[in-house]
Amino acid sequence: MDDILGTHRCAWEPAPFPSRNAVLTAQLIAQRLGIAVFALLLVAVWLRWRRATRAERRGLAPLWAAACIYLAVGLMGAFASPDTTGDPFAYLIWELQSVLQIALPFVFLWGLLSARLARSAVGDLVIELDRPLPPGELRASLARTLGDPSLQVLYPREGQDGWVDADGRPAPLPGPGSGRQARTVTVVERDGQPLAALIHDPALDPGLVRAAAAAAARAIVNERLQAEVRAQLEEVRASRQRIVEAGDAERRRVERNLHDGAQQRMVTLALELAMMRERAAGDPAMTASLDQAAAELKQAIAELRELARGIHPAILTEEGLPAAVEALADRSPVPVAVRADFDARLPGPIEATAYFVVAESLANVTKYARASVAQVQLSRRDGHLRVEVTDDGVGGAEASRGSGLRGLEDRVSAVRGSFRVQEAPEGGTCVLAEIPCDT
Amino acid sequence: MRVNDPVTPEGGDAAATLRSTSPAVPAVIRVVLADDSVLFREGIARVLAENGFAVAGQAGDADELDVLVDRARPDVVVTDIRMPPTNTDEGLLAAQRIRARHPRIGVLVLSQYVETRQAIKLLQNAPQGVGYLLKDRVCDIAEFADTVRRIAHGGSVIDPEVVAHLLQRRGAESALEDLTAREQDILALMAQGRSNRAICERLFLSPKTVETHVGAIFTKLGLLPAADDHRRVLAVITYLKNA
Repeated sequence: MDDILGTHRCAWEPAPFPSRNAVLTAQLIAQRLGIAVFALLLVAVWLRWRRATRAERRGLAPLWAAACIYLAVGLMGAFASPDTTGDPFAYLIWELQSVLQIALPFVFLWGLLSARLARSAVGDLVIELDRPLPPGELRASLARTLGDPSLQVLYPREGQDGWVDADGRPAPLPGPGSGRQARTVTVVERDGQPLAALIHDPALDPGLVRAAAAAAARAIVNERLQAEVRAQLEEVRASRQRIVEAGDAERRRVERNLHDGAQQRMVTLALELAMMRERAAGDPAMTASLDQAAAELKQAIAELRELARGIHPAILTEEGLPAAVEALADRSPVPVAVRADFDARLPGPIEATAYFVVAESLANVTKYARASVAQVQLSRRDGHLRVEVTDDGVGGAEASRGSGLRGLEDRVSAVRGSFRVQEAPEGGTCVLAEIPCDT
Repeated sequence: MRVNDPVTPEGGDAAATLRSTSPAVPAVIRVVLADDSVLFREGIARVLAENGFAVAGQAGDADELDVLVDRARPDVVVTDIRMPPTNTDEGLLAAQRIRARHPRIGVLVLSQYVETRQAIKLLQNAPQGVGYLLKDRVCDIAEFADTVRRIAHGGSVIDPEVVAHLLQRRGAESALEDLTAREQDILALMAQGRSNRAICERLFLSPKTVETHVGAIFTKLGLLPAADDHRRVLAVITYLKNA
């Protein structure tokens, strides 16, 4: 475009200007003005890009790309030879610049139209969602269709306040943030009742969001029902865990009351009797009856001690799981080998659950298994505590039968664990519990 | 657990060994008591006073006990394991502290329950002049007085229940299987810190028979014979724990 009037003047070229100099000056002004306007455009696009959310950037991207190409070609033109007829490279640059000048408005137009084009994707959504969806798939489909990867779908609870995600976990509706954190909440309703809330980028076209929600309506209803069931299950599990923990706390309290009260008094009484016995040394009838009273009391103290230990063993609170399991093994009539690959403390409910699994299993081994030896293995792997009690007895135990094993299964699942009773490979029974523990 | 002291061979001068390892104990043994139950403490104080001990002070919790021990410098401390504020194992920790700060003061820990772990904990850092007994053992007054005396002389005492558990635990897979029932009885008494003479009286055996059994036990367990009472306890515990 440089100097088109100078070196290759054509016959058809109109000559509205009085002189060649005037033409050249006008051309120069137009060129400089063009550069200035283009620079301003770049700055404007850059400023906009900086503040834009993801969805907005998507609209700006083609313009940004076109501007970059235009700038690159312009720079090459500035350094190319002004002789566009003699130098093929300069000619190519000149041609490119012309094409880009014409293309630029179309790129603008494309950016504007892309939002409209997105609506056609909503049609695809209807087909995509017409199948059973795994949890989270609905969110992913909506996010893809609307072009907002940060999109969230929350559901209102049935007959309660609050919102949950697809897994039934409580999740709050976000407040109006600012800048790039800004979120818009679109509540999807049916018959005037909220069905779901879509939390998305404020730059999304509200009409498009509504269209997508309408297309996904059936999937949203389904997922909401699933979320409700999951939320209720989680509530039941949490309440069961609270009941178990309250039971444990109560056991600890009773044990402590026995220790500080009845046990202490009985030992003091036994000491008193012993002192009376010493003083009555010369009276055979008296010493005989004191001896008998002391023997009875000694038996009562021993029985009370075993009772208190069964309610809640002090050693579990004081020394932790491996020590408490060793103490169980010490008291088992069947010889028990204990192997533990850790000595650290675990959360109280987990220690108590694992302890009662071992205690009940060893009691069963003694009562029913006719075993000659048993083994307890405690190990921690991949964030799980694994408790394994094996014996070499007659086998035949089942988790579904017998209230003891059933109770253990309930206890273990209350702390999100799994519980199994199976035949050991060499005969006998193997009780296996796995409890998640993140610490 | 390790025993650093050289073991005196059988036939060595037992009295000399005792003198060399035990603190000089005065004629009247001074005792400090710690238990959160005042009634029980008073009972023990009376028993000890009637049996020729001097009660130098009483404490209701571990902090009071620390202060009292520093001030009264008793020969023996008799403490409950569970005391305020946490009601878990204050007594055990206090015992370890006292043994570390005042190696000449013996400590007897009493508990409503005896646990192998706690016995080992107590013995492994302070293998001399410590005891660990079920609380109701105090009702056998003569025995209890004898225990306190032995601890004052640097001996160690472990509750028979702990010894029984240790024997049972090792029993299935160790040389203890080779011991006869009589030898196991004698081993248990040795673990309680008994001398050969005391074992004779207990089991109604002649000194010669007990000596033969003790020799057989040491041979079967592969231990060097030891004359010193508390070292015999340590030898037994070491074997039980590490074998």
